[in-house]
Amino acid sequence: MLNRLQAIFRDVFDDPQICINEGTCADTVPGWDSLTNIQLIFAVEREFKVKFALGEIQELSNVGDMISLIQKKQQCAA
Amino acid sequence: MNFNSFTFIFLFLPAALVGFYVLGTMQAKASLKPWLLAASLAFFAAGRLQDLPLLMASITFNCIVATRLTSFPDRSRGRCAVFVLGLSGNLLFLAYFKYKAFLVALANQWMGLHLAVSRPLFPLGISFYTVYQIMLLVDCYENLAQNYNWRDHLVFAGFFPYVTMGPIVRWKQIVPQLNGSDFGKPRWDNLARGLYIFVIGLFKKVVLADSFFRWSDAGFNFAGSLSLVGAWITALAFTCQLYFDFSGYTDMAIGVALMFNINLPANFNTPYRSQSVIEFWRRWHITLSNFITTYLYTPMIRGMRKVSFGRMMLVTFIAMLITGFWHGASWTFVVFGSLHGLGLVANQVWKRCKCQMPGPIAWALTFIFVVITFVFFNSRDLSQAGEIVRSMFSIRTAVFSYEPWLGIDRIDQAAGIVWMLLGTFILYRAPSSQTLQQNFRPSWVTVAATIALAAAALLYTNGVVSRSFVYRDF
Repeated sequence: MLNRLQAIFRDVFDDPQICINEGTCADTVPGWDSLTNIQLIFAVEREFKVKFALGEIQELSNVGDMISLIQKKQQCAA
Repeated sequence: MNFNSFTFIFLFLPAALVGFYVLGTMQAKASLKPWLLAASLAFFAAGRLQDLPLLMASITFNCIVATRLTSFPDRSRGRCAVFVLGLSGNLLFLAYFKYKAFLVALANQWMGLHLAVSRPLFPLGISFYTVYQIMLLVDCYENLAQNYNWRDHLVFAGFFPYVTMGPIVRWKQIVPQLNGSDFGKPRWDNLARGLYIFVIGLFKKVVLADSFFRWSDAGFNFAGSLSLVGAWITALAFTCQLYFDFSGYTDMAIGVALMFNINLPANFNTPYRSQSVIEFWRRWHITLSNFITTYLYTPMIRGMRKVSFGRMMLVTFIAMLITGFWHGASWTFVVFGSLHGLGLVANQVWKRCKCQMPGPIAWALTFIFVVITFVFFNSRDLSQAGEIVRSMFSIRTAVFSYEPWLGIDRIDQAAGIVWMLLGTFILYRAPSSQTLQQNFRPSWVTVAATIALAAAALLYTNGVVSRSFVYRDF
């Protein structure tokens, strides 16, 4: 899942060198603002075929949170 | 009643705390929430009794809507209808009690009507408790308000540290703490840390913000005849006043809540060190920014069939326009929001072009931009703002001439300058209150610093007429 997310990050931030891990957050990636955040959310929703609730988006503080939420959503859908 | 009043510091807060911890140690847990609710209502009534029925009406309405929402099955029509009703009810409530006079004046001007316009004070806390109850309804609709019940709603919506001026909180941040095992147990570390942050906030408000206020207020009253230097001093003094006023209030709210074992979210993170407008809004009034981004900006973009950069910029501008208008029903706030909307759009375009700028220049441009927009924020109308901004950039006015603050007593001027220098140091060099709170360790140095700050703050609280908080009128 991290690899798929990394591809999304590289596309959204237009940076082929970007490397993410579970602790990656807005403070550690230059240019991660509300605009790129929403682009990320939409791209992740498309890629993993899930939909985040508004309140869930606000709670995401790093990539690890995003992975946990995607897994939770996929388990609920299965 | 304000946090910076003797009544609050020496009467209300100790009484509320003693009652809370006596009930907690007597194992009378069931009485803790009613006690907090009673204290909150008493605090609100002491602030502005006539606005208490509005708060009660808002809480009752939202309790009914939230209870109904959670009783419907997911994705049912009834659930959707109740949600829309709840949302509309809150927006109409806010529109009627906060924006009625502005809208009537607008109708008179544009449609040639002659309707009576009355401009009462905005109901206390209406912008804040309406917003966090809207967030609660969204959470209920999305099944994120775990274990919702109306009893917790009453305490959540009325809790006195944040009911009048924020921070804007979510159910998930507060209610689990109300139901935690620590709730009601005396926690000396929380009491000490809470007192420490409260005293820092009190010092920021009564010593620093009120010192800057004397200079900004004198300048704004002389808006028509300020020199170039005078106009900049006025604008800079207000920029510093607003930060110390609002962040001081927030520190006090966080400190008071911590004394009751409740952690509130941070609202500021040294915003004047930002090197872009985007960064500024990540550091300034953080809980409002989060609300706007999550509950306004995201749904607006989600609602688009095709998302393009241009459309996202349009939504950014609209979101900031609404943010400005949320602050108050006046054209000055519309301009304030529009300017920040344009600033964010310009910033995004700049980023898209992958242009770089040296850090000090980026900081200076951001700060000057913020200072200019705050002139609109504090002006009574657009003409006053226009006069000050013109003077800031006009070479026709004198560079330096007789200025209103020269009339301030010399001793007060000297003291004011000392505090303002300290304030400027805090703005650019000192750790944020959030960092101070995290790094708090009980020691003699901390005790001495707290006593010194408290002594200075209480001296000023006693010596000058207590001023209300800027955001109290929003």
